[in-house]
Amino acid sequence: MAEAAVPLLSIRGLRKIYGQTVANDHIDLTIAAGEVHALLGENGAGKSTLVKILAGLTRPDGGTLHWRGEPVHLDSPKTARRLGIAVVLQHFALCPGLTVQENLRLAGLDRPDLQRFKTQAARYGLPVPLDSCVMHLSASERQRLELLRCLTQEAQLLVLDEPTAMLGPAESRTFMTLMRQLAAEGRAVVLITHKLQEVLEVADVATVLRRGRVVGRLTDLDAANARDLATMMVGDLPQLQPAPRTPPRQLPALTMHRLSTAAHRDHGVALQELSLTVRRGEILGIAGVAGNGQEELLAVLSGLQRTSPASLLLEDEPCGHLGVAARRTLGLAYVPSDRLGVGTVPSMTLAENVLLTASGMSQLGWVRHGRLAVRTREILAHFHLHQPPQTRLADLSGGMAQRFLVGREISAQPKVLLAAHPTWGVDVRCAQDIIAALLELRAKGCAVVVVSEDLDELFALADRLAVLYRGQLSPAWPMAEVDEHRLAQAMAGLAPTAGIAEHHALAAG
Amino acid sequence: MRWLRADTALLSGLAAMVLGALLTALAMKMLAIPAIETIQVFFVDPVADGFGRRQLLITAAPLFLCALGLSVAFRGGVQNIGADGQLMSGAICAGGLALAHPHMGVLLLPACVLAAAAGGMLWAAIAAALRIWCGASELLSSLFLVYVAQLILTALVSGPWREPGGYGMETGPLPDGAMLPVWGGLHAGVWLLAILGMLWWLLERHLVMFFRLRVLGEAPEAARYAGYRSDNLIWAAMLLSGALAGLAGYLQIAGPLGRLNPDLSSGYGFAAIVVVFAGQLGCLGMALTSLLVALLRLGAENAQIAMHLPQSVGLLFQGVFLVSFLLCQRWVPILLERMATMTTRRRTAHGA
Ligand SMILES: Nc1ncnc2c1ncn2[C@@H]1O[C@H](COP(=O)(O)OP(=O)(O)OP(=O)(O)O)[C@@H](O)[C@H]1O
Ligand SMILES: [Mg+2]
Repeated sequence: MAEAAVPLLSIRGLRKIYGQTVANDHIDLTIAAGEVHALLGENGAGKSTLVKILAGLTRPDGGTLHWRGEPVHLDSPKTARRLGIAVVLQHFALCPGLTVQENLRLAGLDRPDLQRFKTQAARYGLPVPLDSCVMHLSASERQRLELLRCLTQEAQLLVLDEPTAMLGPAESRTFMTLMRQLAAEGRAVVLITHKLQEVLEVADVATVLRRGRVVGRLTDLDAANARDLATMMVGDLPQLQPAPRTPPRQLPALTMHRLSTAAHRDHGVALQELSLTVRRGEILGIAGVAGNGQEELLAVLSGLQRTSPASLLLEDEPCGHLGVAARRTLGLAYVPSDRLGVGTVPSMTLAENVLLTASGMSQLGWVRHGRLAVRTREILAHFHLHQPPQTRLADLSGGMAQRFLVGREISAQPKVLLAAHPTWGVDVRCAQDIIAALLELRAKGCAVVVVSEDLDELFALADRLAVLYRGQLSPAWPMAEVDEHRLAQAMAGLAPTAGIAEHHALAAG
Repeated sequence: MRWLRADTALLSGLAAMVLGALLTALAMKMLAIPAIETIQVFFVDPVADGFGRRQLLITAAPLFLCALGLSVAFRGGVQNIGADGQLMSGAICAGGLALAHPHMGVLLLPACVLAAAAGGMLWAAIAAALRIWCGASELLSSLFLVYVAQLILTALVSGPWREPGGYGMETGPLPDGAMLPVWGGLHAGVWLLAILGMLWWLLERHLVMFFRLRVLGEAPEAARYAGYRSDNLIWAAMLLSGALAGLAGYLQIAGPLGRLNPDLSSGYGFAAIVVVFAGQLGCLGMALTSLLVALLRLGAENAQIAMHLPQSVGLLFQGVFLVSFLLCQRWVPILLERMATMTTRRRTAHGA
């Protein structure tokens, strides 16, 4: 390794302070060309802060950066881009009102770049609709878009903040191979992830952050080290005891009956005659590759989009025609896929974000601040968030915002909970907490529908699993009957669909 | 540095005043008008005595009232810039009622107040309906409705409502029962408004509707997700800001003017937009800036009489102050941020 003498990027004593929080505390980090460098750590460890500094979005409060041995000041995103640093932020910086193509232009891609973008999208099997408004893309599609944009920029250093958090298994695998390929070409990749498996698969080096400091570095990564890594990240993990699950009750909580929607004129997928019953005390997982109707399904189930009354029942109540607010009163809660800007208002405080959906927090149009503060503290305490209720939501780290959102919806004590990838971006310990909380909800008789591309998440939670493909739903298989082969087939559209699903539902009901 | 962060709004306000004063001085230099005397005439003479100070409060009152309503709408992303028309519509309704039924006794005043609010709401409702049912931008329609209101007002006071045997285009005086009672040299509207101003922060903190409007303005998708009916919220914002503007119109005719004339709005509905932005949507900020704008208006009148300066000089000063406010709002927080970063850096460097 001749280049080892002059590393691509060397970071010395980097500091960033937000009010009382030291987000980055004297971080030293060396990134050599040709390596995949995993950056790990619990939620709030300071990973995204470091990424924002490398992107030129945030100014550090101290420390130095050397690019190929030369000192540099990353004072703007342009500077970073010119040096050859391409970044995917945890919360993507996209203009929702513009099309994909326009967004790429904004990011500095010109016409030949766009062409390359298209060929790459095709080659890696990561389709992105170029002419759709970004607004209409799901979070996972946005992730694909950002990832491809980053690859197209032909950068020397790719900094990826949880790039695989919302990709399905096949996409993730493609992406892993891709990263190795990039490293082989002599580029460097900084990869942030909470999935240890990925780290073991692709990373050459792993650096662990905790409370803003570097607490560990591992160079030879193999399965034996996985536990070490986990311990370094979040401390000792209690072994998760899978609680014995009581069988679901017989009463239906949510019934879809030949639920169909028309596709939007220029985007989206039409849902075709979905029929399925979720019983009380049951968790139904819905798997599938993003863009196969997940967003549409969630919109229809949550009431953002209305249909005919009888095609959707909450317990026995026809509710297809009801809007979001009315369904909430009937006991529906919803964790949307976009946590900033949809599920929460980033510029508002945590307490105000609880007020957004919590019921019983106002009386005669007057906010009850006392109650609100109590409820907010409960949610924060339950999910180990140590911020005061007056913190702006935008000041939380990504994983913390996710915990808050899930916690808020769980605390509504719903009869039916819809959740899009509930453990997106939370660290191992907290993922356990969220899974435990969902199981507890299940034990109380709540029906939970989890829509996710992440199979691990689905396997940890679901009682039955169905696959969504091009707006059609496979039968919901009990977990005992699910195997990878079957799933892969269904996700590629090779499984029996609608008619049989209906048959199953009728048999079950 | 924490105190800096907490009072950024205050600091940027102060900075704006200083910058505004400097730019005004520069403007005076360029116009070759004597600075000291102009400052005296503009900023000191109008409030030199008790009468002047009361005048200031009376001038500021309708501005502040309009601004309160507009701040609610703007927070929700509802671009109602036609407060001037809503103000005139309120004045027309209340004035028309008072002139047509002068003998209603004690009921006349409350009836007029209701009529003024209803008039303002009616005018705002047109823009709201166009927005919600036809998708027309409320920014444009509310603005155009100002001109419609102005034409109707002018037509009324120069035609059917004109005072028989009167001098100019104006109605006869409003009946005594329709006039606001005067306490301590200030009409009741000023006192009530002072109380409203003090209660306003309570309303802002506690009213669910205000909260929902803020959500709608800051993250419309989140409002949808939470199940808020954006149509209803837009209605509420338009009607509330319209009602307050209509009441401001009533303050004018039942306070300082005592009758209707074509100039009764004096552009207060537009000046209120300036007040809202310069006051950064906050209640105290808006109160202070409406006083400042009122002072500039009185000063301009004074300067016209005492120094024969054209009214446009007053407008120029107003513009200068607005620009300084907007500049400082944008740049003072950024500069403070930079300063904070630099001090931390220096401290880190020393520590190392
Ligand atoms: N703009 C901000 N203002 C105040 N505090 C902030 C801000 N941004 C981040 N923080 C705080 O800095 C700490 C580090 O946040 P950061 O986003 O870097 O965490 P992270 O390691 O990316 O976590 P996650 O895995 O949840 O994404 C957190 O405690 C967070 O609350
Ligand atoms: Mg992060």
